[in-house]
Amino acid sequence: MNKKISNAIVVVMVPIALYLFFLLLRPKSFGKINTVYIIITQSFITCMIAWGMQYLAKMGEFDLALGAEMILDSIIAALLSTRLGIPGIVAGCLLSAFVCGILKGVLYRVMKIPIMILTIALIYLLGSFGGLITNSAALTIAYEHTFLGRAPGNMIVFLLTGILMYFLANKSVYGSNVNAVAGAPGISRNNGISVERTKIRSLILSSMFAGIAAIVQLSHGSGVTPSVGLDSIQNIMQPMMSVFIGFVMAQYVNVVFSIFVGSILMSIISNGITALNWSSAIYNIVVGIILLLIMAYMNVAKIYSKRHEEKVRAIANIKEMNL
Amino acid sequence: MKRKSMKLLMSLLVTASLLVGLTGCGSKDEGTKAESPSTDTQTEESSQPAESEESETEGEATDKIKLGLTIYSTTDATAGPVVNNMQTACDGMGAELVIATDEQNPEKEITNIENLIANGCQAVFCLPYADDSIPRIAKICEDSEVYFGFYWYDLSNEETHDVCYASKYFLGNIYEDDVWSAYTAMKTLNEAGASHIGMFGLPTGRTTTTKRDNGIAQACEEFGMEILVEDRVNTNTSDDAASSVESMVSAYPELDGIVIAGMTQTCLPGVIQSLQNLGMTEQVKVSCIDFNENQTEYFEKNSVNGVIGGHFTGGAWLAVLAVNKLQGTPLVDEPVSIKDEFIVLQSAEDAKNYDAHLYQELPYTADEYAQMSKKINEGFTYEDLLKVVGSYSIEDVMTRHNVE
Amino acid sequence: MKANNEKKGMELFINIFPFISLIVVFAGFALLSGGRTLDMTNCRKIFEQSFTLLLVAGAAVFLLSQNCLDMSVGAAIGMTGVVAALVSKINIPLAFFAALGVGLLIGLINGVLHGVLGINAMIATLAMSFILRGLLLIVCKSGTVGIAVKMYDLDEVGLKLAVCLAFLVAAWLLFQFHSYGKQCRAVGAGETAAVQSGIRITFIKVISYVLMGAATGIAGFFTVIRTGAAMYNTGNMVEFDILIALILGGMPINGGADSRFRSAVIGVLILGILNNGMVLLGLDTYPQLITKGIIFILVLAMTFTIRNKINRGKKTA
Repeated sequence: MNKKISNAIVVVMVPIALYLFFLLLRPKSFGKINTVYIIITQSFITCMIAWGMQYLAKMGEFDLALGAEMILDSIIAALLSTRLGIPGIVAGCLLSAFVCGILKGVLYRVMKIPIMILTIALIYLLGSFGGLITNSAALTIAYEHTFLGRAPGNMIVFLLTGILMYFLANKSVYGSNVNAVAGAPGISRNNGISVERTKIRSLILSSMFAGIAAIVQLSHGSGVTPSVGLDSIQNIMQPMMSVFIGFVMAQYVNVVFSIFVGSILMSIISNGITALNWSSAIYNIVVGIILLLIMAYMNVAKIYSKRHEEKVRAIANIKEMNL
Repeated sequence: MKRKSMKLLMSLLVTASLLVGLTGCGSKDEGTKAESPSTDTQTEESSQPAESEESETEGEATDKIKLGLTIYSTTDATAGPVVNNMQTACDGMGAELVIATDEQNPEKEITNIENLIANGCQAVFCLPYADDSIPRIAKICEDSEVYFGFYWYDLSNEETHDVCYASKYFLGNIYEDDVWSAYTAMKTLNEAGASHIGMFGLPTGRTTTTKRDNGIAQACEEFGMEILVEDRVNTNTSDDAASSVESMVSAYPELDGIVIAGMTQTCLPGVIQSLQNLGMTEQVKVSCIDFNENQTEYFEKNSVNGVIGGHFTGGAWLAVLAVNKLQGTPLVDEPVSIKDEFIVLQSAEDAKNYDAHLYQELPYTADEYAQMSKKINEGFTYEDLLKVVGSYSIEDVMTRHNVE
Repeated sequence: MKANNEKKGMELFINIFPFISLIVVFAGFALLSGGRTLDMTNCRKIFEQSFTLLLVAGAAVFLLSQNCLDMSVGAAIGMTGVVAALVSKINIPLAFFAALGVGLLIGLINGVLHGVLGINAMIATLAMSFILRGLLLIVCKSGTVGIAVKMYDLDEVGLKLAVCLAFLVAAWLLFQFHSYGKQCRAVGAGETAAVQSGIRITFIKVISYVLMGAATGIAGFFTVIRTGAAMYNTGNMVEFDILIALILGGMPINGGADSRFRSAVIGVLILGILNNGMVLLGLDTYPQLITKGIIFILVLAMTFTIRNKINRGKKTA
């Protein structure tokens, strides 16, 4: 069988296996096509944020301000929606996301601070800014403006974002640069790739993807509440998990698809826990264990593969010497 | 090498001196608190030891009484009115209010209380997030000789009740009948025909949660209702609430009611939105405890069946008790436990009236609060205060403010 | 010669900048609060509020000097706190050792995950944080676990000061003078070079996480004494407070030879004075957060810009 297809099957089997597990435990809920639909659609927002995060994550950086940015994007979009409707929501989220991305890029360029630390500082500023604009009040949007939060609106946004993501990751110079910098920053620099510029572009892109996710999130929930302090970091934990799971699976399939599968896994777990009326504690424990198992497997497999290669090389050398 | 050693020694000395300086060499309670309302300024001015309260009446009229409040937010739809009402009460009675936010974290709450006391507050008020932290709070306030009280909190736990009442600095607590509020929320669902309920609730371990859970259980037993599924901790955003509803409805097709027994500000928009998306607004009834900014609109669209809340004046009553105590004209000598009234909204008109007269404008004006200070209105008594508290309702406010 | 002097000047500045920051923050708030910051009781309160952070930040220096993170500190404090609260009802000294034991176990697991299995530190400890928070929710039944009443007797400034000084002095001696501390910095400076020098990286990393676990055990024990109970959100976001404190204290984020133990003490004190001072000034929530964010960015900008200049100078030399 074609290796690509067999790899894809391996990856797809993971969420299917998990789904079957919950189906056995709760056939009443998981035995319906509607549940599959809900699981997939609930993974859209997580997936879009994860797609944006993965550029920086590949280079070993983490943008922790995305949660606070999304809240700010939603606040500005909600305010604009009162005058401009759905275009206001789209424009508000994307413009705000762009400005946040540029701000991060400029601060990174000027101050040369590690991105994780810079974004922790920005969480305070962005969160406070959102709170000051709204005077801490929750904002909502009218139902007629929530088209992009439900089918087919959210699907259209998701598909378009997926196509953009695929193009950026696989067909663009930028995507190649990210891979190069992630693999060997020193060599990339010597080959004329600006590591700094690549990181700045990644910062802006992660903000833009988060902005797109904020459109769907605001339209889905219809409301936004300003965040206080570092609380918004909780909102990006699930996408971060999807990124890590996606990276593990990326050795089998394209990273765009693998991150999507990671998001679906998270969504299955979340729905399964609700269906079984288990405590949310179980969700935390299960997610943590899955992440550890995946990462441990990946590292052990890497070590084993390296040792195996060395062994094979040693045997080949011995055979050559004997000849 | 010598330079390195010098730097090392210098840094050691500085760090050590700072540490020692921070902990201080003095005794624990060296007149550090402003016992008298007249010492608004400094804790260093401890030349007036705390004696009897009669000495406090000699306070200069220009020196303000300072009260401290620690609360999870200053302006959201639930906490905001508490702050606004308390601020208005302080303004009316000529006191100053200092506020600190604690993000519902008990450690932060303790820190805030300490910092408010350091700020010179003569009384501090909080909502204890854990019953077990009350002895700690009581000790901090006693050691600093600062009055304290609780809003939104029922001291029904015997142990904590005894600890508080044993303290001469405990002013009292304002509580609501959370059993009744949760029971009423479920009752509105039952009256709308719902019996299989999904619940959004507060984390367990607090008296408020226990009481609301008891109210819900009581309603379930009386009306033959059932809680199918709960979501207590995982809803950080409206989107989370919307996703939660989708999962609930998918997992439990028989679900026909949702009760939001906490986190209404965040959850309600997401719940309503999700039901609208699913086309289940008619099928699944919604009721909640705590008000939300968009409730009028939700009532107009028949998206919600009942909202119970409006219990925002507790902080103001504590301010009234504290100011009278600190200015030497206490309304009552012993700690008190006052029941605050809820307001039930069951129609768009109710919601509009609440919004206009109790949210946009406050239920009591600064002048009305001023009349609750015995310094201004000598004849005001504790029984008068109880009458005011007991009569709290939309109709009462409209009557007092001459609204037709 | 001029470049050399300039470089020396910058190095001196970067070394004393944290002290200057501390003095400026302290003096600034003392002035703005009309002297309330200087009050002995207030200073004592700042220490009490910063006490647990001092312990964990002191341990975190070992990790950060190796360019490692621990995102499970907050959850670990919660877990050790709840264990302490539960066991305190049987016996209080036993509660301390139970908390310490659980902390050591958590540290060991983190050490094995990162040091032995090679999982990225942030990911491994993030996953542990998830697991611990989940366990905490189960143990607390999503609520609170109260401590034994007699435990309040341990809420003494003298005891905390003694514990704090003992821990910090021991950690400082270990970091500055023992080969272990030097090896930590060597690992942070360059893992490959450290391996070639014969440093057992796995051992170093595991021990660092175990040390962190011990600190969280002690911190958890004293945290529940302070609040009277352990809750499911005890220790929330402490790992970020540690990071912020260490950065404010002048710790290079990538670790290495420039790591200094004093960063922990100075940074935590700055943070404590900031938090205290802003309430003394009666600042509302959002102005507080904005102030914190701006100060943090300014300090970061200053230290990183200068450090980059110094490093660039070293490379061209």
